[in-house]
Amino acid sequence: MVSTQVAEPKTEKRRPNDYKSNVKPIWCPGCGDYAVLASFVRALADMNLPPEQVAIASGIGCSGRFPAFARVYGYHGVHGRPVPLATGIKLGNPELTVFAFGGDGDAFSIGAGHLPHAAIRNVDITYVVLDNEIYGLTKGQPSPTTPTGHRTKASPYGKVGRQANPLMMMLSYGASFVARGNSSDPRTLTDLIIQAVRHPGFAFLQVYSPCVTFFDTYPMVKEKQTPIPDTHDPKDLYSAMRLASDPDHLYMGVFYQDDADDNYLSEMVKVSAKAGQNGYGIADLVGRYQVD
Amino acid sequence: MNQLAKEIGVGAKAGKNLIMIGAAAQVFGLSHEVARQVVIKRLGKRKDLLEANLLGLQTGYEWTEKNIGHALDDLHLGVRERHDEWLIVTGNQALAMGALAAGLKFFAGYPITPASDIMEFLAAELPKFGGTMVQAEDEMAALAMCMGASYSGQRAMTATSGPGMALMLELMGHASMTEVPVVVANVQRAGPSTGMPTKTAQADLWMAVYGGNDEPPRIVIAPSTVRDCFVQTVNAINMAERYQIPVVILSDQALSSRVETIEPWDLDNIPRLERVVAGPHEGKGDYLRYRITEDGISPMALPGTPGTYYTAEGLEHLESGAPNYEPAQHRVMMDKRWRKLETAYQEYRTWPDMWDRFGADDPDVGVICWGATEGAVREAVMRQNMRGRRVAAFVPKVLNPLPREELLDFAEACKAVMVPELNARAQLAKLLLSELRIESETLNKYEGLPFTPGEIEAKLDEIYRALDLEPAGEALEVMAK
Repeated sequence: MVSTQVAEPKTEKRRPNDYKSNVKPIWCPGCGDYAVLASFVRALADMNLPPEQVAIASGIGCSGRFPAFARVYGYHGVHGRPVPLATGIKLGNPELTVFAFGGDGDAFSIGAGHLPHAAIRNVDITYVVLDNEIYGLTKGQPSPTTPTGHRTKASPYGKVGRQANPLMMMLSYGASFVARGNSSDPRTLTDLIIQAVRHPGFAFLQVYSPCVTFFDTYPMVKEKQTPIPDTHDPKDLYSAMRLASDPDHLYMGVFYQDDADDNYLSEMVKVSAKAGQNGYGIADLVGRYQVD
Repeated sequence: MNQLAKEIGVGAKAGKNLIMIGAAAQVFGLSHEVARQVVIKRLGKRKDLLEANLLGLQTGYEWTEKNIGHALDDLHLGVRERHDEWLIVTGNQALAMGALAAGLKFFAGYPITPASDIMEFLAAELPKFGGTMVQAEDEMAALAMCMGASYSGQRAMTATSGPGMALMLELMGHASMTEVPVVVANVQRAGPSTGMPTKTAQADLWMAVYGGNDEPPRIVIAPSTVRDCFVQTVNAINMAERYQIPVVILSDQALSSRVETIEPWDLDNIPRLERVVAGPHEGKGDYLRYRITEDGISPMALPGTPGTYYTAEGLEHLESGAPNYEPAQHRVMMDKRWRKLETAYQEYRTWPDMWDRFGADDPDVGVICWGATEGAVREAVMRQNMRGRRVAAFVPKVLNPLPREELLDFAEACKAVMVPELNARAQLAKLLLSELRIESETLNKYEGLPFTPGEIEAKLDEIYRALDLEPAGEALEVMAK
């Protein structure tokens, strides 16, 4: 039921390249997404997951192209809906290890309505948000995570409105796993992806993945990135919130993790037990509506 | 009634409403004794209420008999043969049962009048059939979850009403493009925007057939009776699977909550069509998810199968699924996806229950209608036949792709065709005109209420006068389907 177990290696150990498709990425040279893809396939290889047991749903945006470049099952969805798609895939086949991939616009703007529900439903999927603080595919409009005052063609006088804080959102929604990584530190990122997959519920992973063409956040990430303090206890929600709301540091690591066994699938097993289903069929159901 | 209640000393707490029930039962010719037994069965344990209720019931009967007597003989329902195995169900219950009979394993929905009780029904029943019901956060999530579950190999459906389906249109286009089987049941309600949620209409046909960006192919199917809600839902799920396409069921508010006593379905012979699934991929070259085939149907791989990796792609794509914008490729793929509708038509026209045809064999006037309007049309045609008028009706169940040969044959045999619909803009009539060049007299009602047979007959009278067709005088032998 739970996708976190590493499958028995039937053949020899798989390598990262075994998870790459022959479709070449079309991202700009220098795009952070290349490094995220590399960490992703590295994580799959480290877990030695059979590729046929992995499915990725993605949204629209540069990061939405992710599934085409991986040699696993993919579903390139519509804008903002990778999380409900991934939810359906997982509930349709609980054996699968299911990912959702999308960008900051996909996640925190058009798809933002799904986030609290993904958190409280707690279906065992891993949601990786590639956050470049800009709409890259549509060539540079401000997104919810774009800093206030930033000038783009769509915000010629500077972005009006505050900068969204995705980690604070997810922590307050009650997500059971909240972490942050960045494309410039692939080793940590690979480890975070593995931890997210092994988490037995909904796992949210924000990944800084800069856009060199429309908003280069490499310098900002480099200046602010800080490993999450060893003293932080990932079960301490308030400590997680303090770290997530620190304006001067971009902490990288696991902010919060709640291992409670209340993910959606284990709850549905209880529902099935309550409903009962031994030998019950359509004739039994229809028979209840007979005239007499 | 207030006066009667005062005279016999019953009030709103007990008995007053039974006066009206007694009166109605007398008007329809229902047995007083049977009504008494029903009340006793329901209230037998509440002695304090029973006496007043029985008194009210009796008073209603007696007053009506004395003051109206036999003036309402036309309304007497008569006594039908008792069939203990018959069913008492609503359209929404029949629809949900049909989905389960067709092997539904996943349902996600969002509350909306008048479709919510499909979700509630399946919340209770689906787990007993080994399936999953999710109440989603909105209609987009509901449909996306269904598409995800279907991608994983499960038979999936959502149910909504017009406003919800409007929100789903982008994803429905995506399901057409990625060729993912899914069923969207739209229990139509009246009015644009929020409109009149508890009133009925047949005004989402254009949205079902044409809605969404560009031209995504989909199948549209409309049940016409409570019993048919089951039959057409089975067909809808089978067609979604067989043609790897979204299928819209157009029910409506009047069907959804109407309780009917119906002949049971033949549960031992539920038709079942399977998805064409690709086996494990061996040998050289990629698995081609969107392989070009003569009938347009490409074997679909399911996650978990080794070797057949692919991306279900909403961008235009090659046979492998890899994105591609070459001019010729778009045409080839558009044609492939649309070819499935022609395959669907050629196949479904050989199946039972895909249209109803009743009335005169050699009609002067033909009625073409869809959905629940069939009920009023059936009665109107029968009455016209009894007056000697050669009227017949054709009720297509599939509205996209239309049963074109059958409709053309029917229309060409008639001197005039009439299309009654519960919408303002004559949606089926214009579909018939644009797709099949069938011209018709239209009758449109958009008041939130269903047609009465009298309204259908009044329009037929008008057509007969205009055509100067005299009735034959003798009653025609009424031909059921």
